[in-house]
Amino acid sequence: MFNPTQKKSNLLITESLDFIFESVELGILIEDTNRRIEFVNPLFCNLFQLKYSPHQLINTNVLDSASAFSLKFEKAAQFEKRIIEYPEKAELVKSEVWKLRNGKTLIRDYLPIYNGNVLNGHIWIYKEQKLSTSSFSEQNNSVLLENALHNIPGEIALFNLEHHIVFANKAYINSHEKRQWAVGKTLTQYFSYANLSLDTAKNRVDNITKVIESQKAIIWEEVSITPGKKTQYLLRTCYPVFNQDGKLENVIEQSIDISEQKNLESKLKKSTDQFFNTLNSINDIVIHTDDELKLKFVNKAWQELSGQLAEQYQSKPIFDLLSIKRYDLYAKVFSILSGKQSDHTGEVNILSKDGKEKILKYNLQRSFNVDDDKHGILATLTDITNNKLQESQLLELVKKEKELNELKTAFVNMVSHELRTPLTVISSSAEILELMIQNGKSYDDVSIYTKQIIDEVEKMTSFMQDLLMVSKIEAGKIVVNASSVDIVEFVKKVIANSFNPWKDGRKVDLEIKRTPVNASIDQKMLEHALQNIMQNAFKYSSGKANPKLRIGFSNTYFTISVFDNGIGIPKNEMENLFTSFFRATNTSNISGTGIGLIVTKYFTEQHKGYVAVKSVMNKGSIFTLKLPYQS
Amino acid sequence: MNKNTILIIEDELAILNNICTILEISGYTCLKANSGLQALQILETTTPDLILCDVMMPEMNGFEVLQKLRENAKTKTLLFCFLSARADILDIDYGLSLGANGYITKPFSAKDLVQTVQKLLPKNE
Repeated sequence: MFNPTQKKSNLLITESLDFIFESVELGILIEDTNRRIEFVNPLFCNLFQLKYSPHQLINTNVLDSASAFSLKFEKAAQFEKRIIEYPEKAELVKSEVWKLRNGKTLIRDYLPIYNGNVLNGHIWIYKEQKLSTSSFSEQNNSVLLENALHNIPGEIALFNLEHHIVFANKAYINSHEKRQWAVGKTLTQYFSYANLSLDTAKNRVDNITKVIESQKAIIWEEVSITPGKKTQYLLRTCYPVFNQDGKLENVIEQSIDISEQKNLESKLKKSTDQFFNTLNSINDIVIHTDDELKLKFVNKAWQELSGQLAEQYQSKPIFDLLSIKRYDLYAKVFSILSGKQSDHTGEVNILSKDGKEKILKYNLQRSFNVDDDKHGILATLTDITNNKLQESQLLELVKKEKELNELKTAFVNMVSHELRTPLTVISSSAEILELMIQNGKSYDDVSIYTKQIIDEVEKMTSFMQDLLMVSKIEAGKIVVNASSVDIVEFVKKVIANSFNPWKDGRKVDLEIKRTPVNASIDQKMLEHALQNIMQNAFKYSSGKANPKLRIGFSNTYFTISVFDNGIGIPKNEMENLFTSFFRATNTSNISGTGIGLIVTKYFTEQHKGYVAVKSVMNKGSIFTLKLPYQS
Repeated sequence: MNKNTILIIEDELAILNNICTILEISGYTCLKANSGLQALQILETTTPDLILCDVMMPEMNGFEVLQKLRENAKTKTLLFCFLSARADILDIDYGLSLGANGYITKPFSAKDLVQTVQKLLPKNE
């Protein structure tokens, strides 16, 4: 055993040893029996991260230093205790593990130094424990690797270029005996030996051949039925292994069981298919866009409505599909896309495949795209054309109902009013006659009152006939009874009967244009038609100039026009002029039935003619009957 | 016998004459106007004790006639009664709201007419 205290006697050896001790990767401390430090190398100071150099430590007491060193250990007290105890026992202690507070682990050996039987000193050797694979032997490496390969849950086999199995792991060939047998054999031989599908063997061998020929990896899926009758999916990879010189040496064939993924994939596919089937079977249109508003999905409802294939819009902007040129909507879409607005609902018109305009109610929402984690637009469109139609029909019905009600009220009011005036004349005339009889004297000529009564009864009768006429007209029960008539004579007779003069003394100014021609007419009907527009001309121009009647004869038709300088007809009420019981708003102070013009129009039309009206408010109106000579 | 003067405004001549006859039989003096404008002319020179006025008349209706009268200090307090075929409660209310003293609906009996006139006119002692 080496005795460091002999350095004085043999300086050369001592210096050499110093050099060696300073060079090794071990922390070394040598002390004498009095516990005085005789030697310490630089690595010792490094391991303990001491601020002293080895020279400063020599000749100091070990126990003094130990109490300072101990603080660096996790188990400081135990460390200090052993420093005291071991030299007392002076017995070898190897490979003690000490953990430093800085996380490092030190391995310590203690050995006493004897010169013969005499204890001469103590050596402490420290080294840092490093986790290194380099400490394993190559032998260990290969065993470790083989173990690892056997425990991998996938098949791995190594083949030489003659297709012989060099290695197969447990997953590839389960039984140890078969594995032993298979090494050095071909796959076909092994499959035959193990009574496995030769088709599978052939397929794998073919792929190994391809890899050897192409020197490139091949990936394929292999489907097999397990003994438990389950379908197993294996993703197999076969790839070349080259030596250091780049020469092909072996082929590795490996597989991963992807049955679980395949099942999930198939479930996912089924669920996705079901989802799309559902989307395609609904009547609403569903559109999904990416973050650039390009179409990602359009369901079948779109095709059914528009007749256009959804595919032709793939990756095109949503606005192409909807043909919307509405900038307010663009703004809404971008506002939803950015999340400023949660959704937007509105209506849009789209041309359907049969060329009809369809009204669609749309709803836009922000959607989330799984593919790229970005937001898109999810649009749903519902065809509400029929609803709208029904709605408008219903509104029309309600409107008609309201109009009918108003008409009924107007009719009742009109009848009531139109009867009150003649009744007043009749009753007052009768009462005057009664008073005359009672008093036995005549205040006036009796005939004035009897005539008034007769006249008013006639008016009432005529009014009743007009009402019946409208009812007949509406039922279409009037037949034309035409005969050839001198139109000028006919008109003159009508004027003479009722309008020359009118009750306010005014007369009709008659004008005849061009040569009169006879025409085939129903005199009663046309008299009625003419009387009505003549009466109106007088009634609505009270206090104004005489109405004018002009008869015009052209080649194919004749016209009877009545001009007045009256109150005129409000422009927006012209369209209602020929509606039963309708009376313009500016006629409330003038009694009337709202029947006359209907009768005129109907009778004129029965003669295959028509009524034309021109009117200016507060200036006057022109009513023209335009009739053919032969109806 | 009283000799109250009543102005009758009515565009329907038969009714105008008959009312006048009935009232004259009952001892009243009648003035006749067949339009609102004519009535206003008469009122420039005459002050009747009562006015009976139709509502539906061309050019100027009865309501307008009453409004004119109520605007003029001279005619403001004249007794005024409508005599109309417009028997709707809305029309009657409207007429009274304009300041009419009465509203008779057509047709009316001679008795009712005379009674209403008597009620409206102050008693002549």
